[in-house]
Amino acid sequence: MNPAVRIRGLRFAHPGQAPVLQDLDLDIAPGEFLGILGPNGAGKSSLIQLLASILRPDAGHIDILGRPPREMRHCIGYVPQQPPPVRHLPITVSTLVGLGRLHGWRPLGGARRADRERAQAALAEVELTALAPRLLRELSGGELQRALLARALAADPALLLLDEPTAHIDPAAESRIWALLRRMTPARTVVVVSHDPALLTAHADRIALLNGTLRVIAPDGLDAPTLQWAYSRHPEIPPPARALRGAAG
Amino acid sequence: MTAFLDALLNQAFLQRAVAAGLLASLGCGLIGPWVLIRRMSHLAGGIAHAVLGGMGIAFFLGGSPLLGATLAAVVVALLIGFIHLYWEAQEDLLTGALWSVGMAVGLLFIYRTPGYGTDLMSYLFGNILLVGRQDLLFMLLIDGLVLAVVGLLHRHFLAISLDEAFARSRGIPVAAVYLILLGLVALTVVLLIRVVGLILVMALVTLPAAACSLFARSIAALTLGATALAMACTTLGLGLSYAPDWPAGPTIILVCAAAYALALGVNVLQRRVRVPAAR
Repeated sequence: MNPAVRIRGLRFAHPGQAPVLQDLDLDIAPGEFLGILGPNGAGKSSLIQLLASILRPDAGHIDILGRPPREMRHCIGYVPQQPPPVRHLPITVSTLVGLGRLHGWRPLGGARRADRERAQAALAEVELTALAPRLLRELSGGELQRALLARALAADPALLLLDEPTAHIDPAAESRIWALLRRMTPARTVVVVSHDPALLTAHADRIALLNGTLRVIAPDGLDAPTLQWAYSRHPEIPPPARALRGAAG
Repeated sequence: MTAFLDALLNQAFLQRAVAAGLLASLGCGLIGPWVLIRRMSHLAGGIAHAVLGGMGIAFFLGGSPLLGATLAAVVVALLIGFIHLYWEAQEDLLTGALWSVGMAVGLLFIYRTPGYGTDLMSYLFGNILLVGRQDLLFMLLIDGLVLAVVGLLHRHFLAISLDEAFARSRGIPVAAVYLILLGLVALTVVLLIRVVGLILVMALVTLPAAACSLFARSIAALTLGATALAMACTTLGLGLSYAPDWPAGPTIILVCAAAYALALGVNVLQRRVRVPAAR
């Protein structure tokens, strides 16, 4: 089966800085739920943004369903790390979600009947239909995060990319979002950045540890020594061999 | 106010002034919400003040000050846009610098131009009573352009204002859309120069939108509300200034400020009433 995402020899550096990603190879299967874990500055967000075609690699290549990310934007959903500031905005949940139907210059994107129906379906998918007329500033942190997830789903993406989607919300809302994400596979491929090993172990099919190099493990391999390695300042010392059992890709 | 209404029926210059106020208000209502949503009042202020550079050069060369203002506004908007997009760390500093340098260039050129006095004051603080038929046509043209572009691209403006990274992931050309938005702000500034002058422009752009943002539940409601409020403020300001022979521009701005203060007061009261009810 062709992978949903194929990364070969990926290298990326922010301007004027040392590379955060080097010689990265990774395959993600269609319908897979992949978690990405690693210390701050390891390149997790950069990797997600490279997949979302927000950043461009310095070397190597990425294929999304066999094509470059720039050509596959219409089937990629992205949820950013930081929710936008919304307190001053007169914007309802349904307006926000409708923005997920925009693409390129299309001036009336999001305004057509089919677009509205797809946005409503996205709201239903995250169980937020009842809150569609609410202003964003009237939502709790968890509800806002679900609205942002619905905006990403409005494009009906085959690949859903989430950068720490539950970093700013309480545990109950966090559990709800992870359960929603789990339900989205195998219809969609889901890639989530998180610092929470318990959630990744509970929900992900595989976990990519990113700390200088990339190591992909099965969830049951995320034991204490492996976790210690994932956040180690000396990642050149390899993690215990047991942890790498079941790894592929 | 009665004297104003009587004169309005008979005096063509006053009818043109009211028409100019209404046309300027349409521009404010269309662009003010985006200045507010995108939080770019400082950038817009920079554009407004730097416009004096273009006007000064136009005065010196004997050209149309409004044309000089338009060219300067667009050039400064593009400069500020590029600074935001590619040199964000220096954005605040460089916008402030453009603000002052533009004014300095304008004042130097005006100083070297003989007989500038009255005209300069009318562009700095506005003189809506001097608006001519050609000015009205120019304003109508700019309003039409702003209305068409905002109508076509308002969703793109919203997308880049909320979240640039998400907009990029959807293939929206963030830089181009942002520069277009700044260009529209620049044109709106030029639109308002005759009404309130470039020193007071920002208040007329932001205050009606800020007042309506306290109650609006959509961008469309905010745009309509800001337009209606700006129209009411410019007409009321013109009316109040007429009998005592006050300068119209500053009077219009004070009416806008009073409307905003009133809206803020009502909003605070509304919230106080709602909170005990919720408990």
